[in-house]
Amino acid sequence: MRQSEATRIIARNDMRLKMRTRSFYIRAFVAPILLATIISFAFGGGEDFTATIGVVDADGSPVSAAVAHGLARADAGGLTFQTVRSARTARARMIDGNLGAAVVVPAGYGAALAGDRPRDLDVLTDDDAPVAGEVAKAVAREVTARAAAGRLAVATATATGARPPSEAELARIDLPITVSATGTGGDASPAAYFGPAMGLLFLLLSLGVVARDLQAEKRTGLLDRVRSGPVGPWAIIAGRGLSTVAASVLSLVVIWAFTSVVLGADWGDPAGVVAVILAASLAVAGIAGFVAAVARTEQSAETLALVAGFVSALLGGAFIPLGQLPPLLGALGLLTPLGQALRAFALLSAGDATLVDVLPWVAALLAWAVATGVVAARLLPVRLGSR
Amino acid sequence: MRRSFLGSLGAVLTIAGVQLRRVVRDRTALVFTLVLPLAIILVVGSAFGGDQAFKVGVIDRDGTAASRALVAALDRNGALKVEHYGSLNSLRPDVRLNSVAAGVIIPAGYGADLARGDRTSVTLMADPTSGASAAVQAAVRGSVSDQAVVLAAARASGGRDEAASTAARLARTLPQPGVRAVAVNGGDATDLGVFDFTAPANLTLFVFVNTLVVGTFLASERRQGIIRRMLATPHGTGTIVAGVGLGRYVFALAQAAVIVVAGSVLFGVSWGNPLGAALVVLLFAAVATAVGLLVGAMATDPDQASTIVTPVAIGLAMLGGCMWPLEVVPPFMRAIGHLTPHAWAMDAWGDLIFGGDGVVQILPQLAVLAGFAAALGLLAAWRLRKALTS
Repeated sequence: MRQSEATRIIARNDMRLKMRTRSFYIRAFVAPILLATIISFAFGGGEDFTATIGVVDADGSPVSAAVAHGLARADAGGLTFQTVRSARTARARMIDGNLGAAVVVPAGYGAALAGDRPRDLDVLTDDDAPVAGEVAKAVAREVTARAAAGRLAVATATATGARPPSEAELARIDLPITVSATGTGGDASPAAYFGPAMGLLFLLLSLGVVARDLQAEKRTGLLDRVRSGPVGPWAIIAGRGLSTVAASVLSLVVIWAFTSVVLGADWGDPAGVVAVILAASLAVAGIAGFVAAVARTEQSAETLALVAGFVSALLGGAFIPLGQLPPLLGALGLLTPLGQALRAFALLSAGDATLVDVLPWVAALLAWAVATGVVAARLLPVRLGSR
Repeated sequence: MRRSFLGSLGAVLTIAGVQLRRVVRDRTALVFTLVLPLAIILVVGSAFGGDQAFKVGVIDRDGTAASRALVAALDRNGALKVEHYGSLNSLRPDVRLNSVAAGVIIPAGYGADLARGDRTSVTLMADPTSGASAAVQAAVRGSVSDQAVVLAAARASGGRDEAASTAARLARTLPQPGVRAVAVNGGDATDLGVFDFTAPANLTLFVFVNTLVVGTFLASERRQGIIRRMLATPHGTGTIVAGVGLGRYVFALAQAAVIVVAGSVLFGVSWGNPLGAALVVLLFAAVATAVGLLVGAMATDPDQASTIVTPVAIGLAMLGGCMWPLEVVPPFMRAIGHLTPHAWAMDAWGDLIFGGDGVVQILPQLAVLAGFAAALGLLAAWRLRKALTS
């Protein structure tokens, strides 16, 4: 029997065995798809943040009425404003959960605005609703900014000797620059990023399976039986490697299909996506071979694989976004296969990159595959042969 | 009676001690107890511990003096650090990967619009899944607003060049009204910091993950017959179940202690009221231990156990608000999230850390966590007893 045929048979057999275990389906498909779906439901619904903000006018002056009016018509999607009689009522309604936050125009606000010591607007925040508090503060700052512009206009006119703006002009003051907020991906679902992230995370966390299976087969004598036939260690290693690549590709392609069809995610240029999936799968197979080659026992294989998986996940951006790491750790993260693959996937989905743009990352992943594969190829035959 | 109770107690402690020794001698377990939590707190701590400014990616499509003034205003803001970008295609992936905390796009025609006295708009791009999103958006809006105030004042006071420069100069010294935050449920109202959210979120996430992983070792102990050998001793099944559970519980507490202590000592993380924090840790570790034992008791083999725990642990962390604050997700996802113990633990941490609350205020969350611990603990004990005796 030719070695290439033996390789094919071993790969096919290995794949068939994988497909018979429930664990494979959970790791390769169910878990990543489930997690990508949770993320999609959490963020992909196109729903903005919503909250009800109370507005209290405790001053009762024309100025405070204008401020309260300004708050109510503030341009902040998803927010509803409700007039509340007093700060006390607002507090009570916040504690009951009916209001997310409240803006209070304090007594004496209008009079103080014309003097040297202007008063602040009070924003009542609740630590159970910190985001509503932040949004209310942002809206209050915007309204305050109009009042500040009026004060500054009067001071500027006085300093330059120009005619001070009239009350009516002050009331009409508008801020000439507005801010419109958007997400990162236009209409794209966050699943386009988290789908591959979760798929790769589970591939990395199951690195030890190859090593553990090989060790178990050696322990039970199965490998010796295979080797008693006309099959060299190379065919066994290549067959195993091939089936690992095939399983990884299958997992990522199914996640790609599911997130695209069901969750409406757009992973970007298909040629680029295919290239990154192939390169990442080869890197995973190489690292799995490396772990199998250096681990002495099933237990040490498991430890090594978990450490490699978790460190890679931690530095590579599965738990903490790469950009939030300090520069040195961030740079280290981009050296991990997960970091490289996620960078490439983000370029494709969020940056409209094409195959050519992600080639450097594909090359980096292939470098991982080659480097770890070479070590595996050198050490594994010895490891498999030794008793 | 008294003697047999003491005897059982002694046996429980002995079994717990043996379990702990096995874990400590097991390299995988040791990695999960000490190395990983420390690595996590080091990475997370150094990522968020310092008072670093948020990096903001700016695309200036206008290139006029007005747009440059806005960029300068963003750069002057102590909370922000400007990085320049040429195109959306390079900025968007960086915002998504959080290489920059937000993006600001100044449109072409920005300067011309302002010079004509029209309104204009800049785009703020932020990643909704990022914990830094709210804080960085507030900082950017603040800088833009400062810039707008000066322009509006200059227009209202004559609109000449002299007015513009005078307004810019006066803006630096003129006392202006601001916004004061007042917390309704006690404590100081603080701005939403990134680390304040991340430290308890990671504590909750990883204590759960690690305790579950160690819980799965039970599946291999069962397969190796270690637990059956314990049954051959004159101690009852209940004693053995209690001993096994106690060993894991001490282990979970040790991990939490590593994260809490390293967080406070190395990075000055404040965990709030010490008694409240201790109670949250004690109860949440009990919940994690119960789930770990349940998985260990139900799984038929170690591979199955370790396959289940990672997605379960990450999924619960996502639903329960350890990956992002639950407030930013739709109400139905928030409701689903509160079916997990994580959400209640995170609520308690929020009250302790942001609200400066004490034990009394977090009693509801503690009660729910205790309920989870009791229900899951009983379920785990029942399954374990069944697995041992069948």
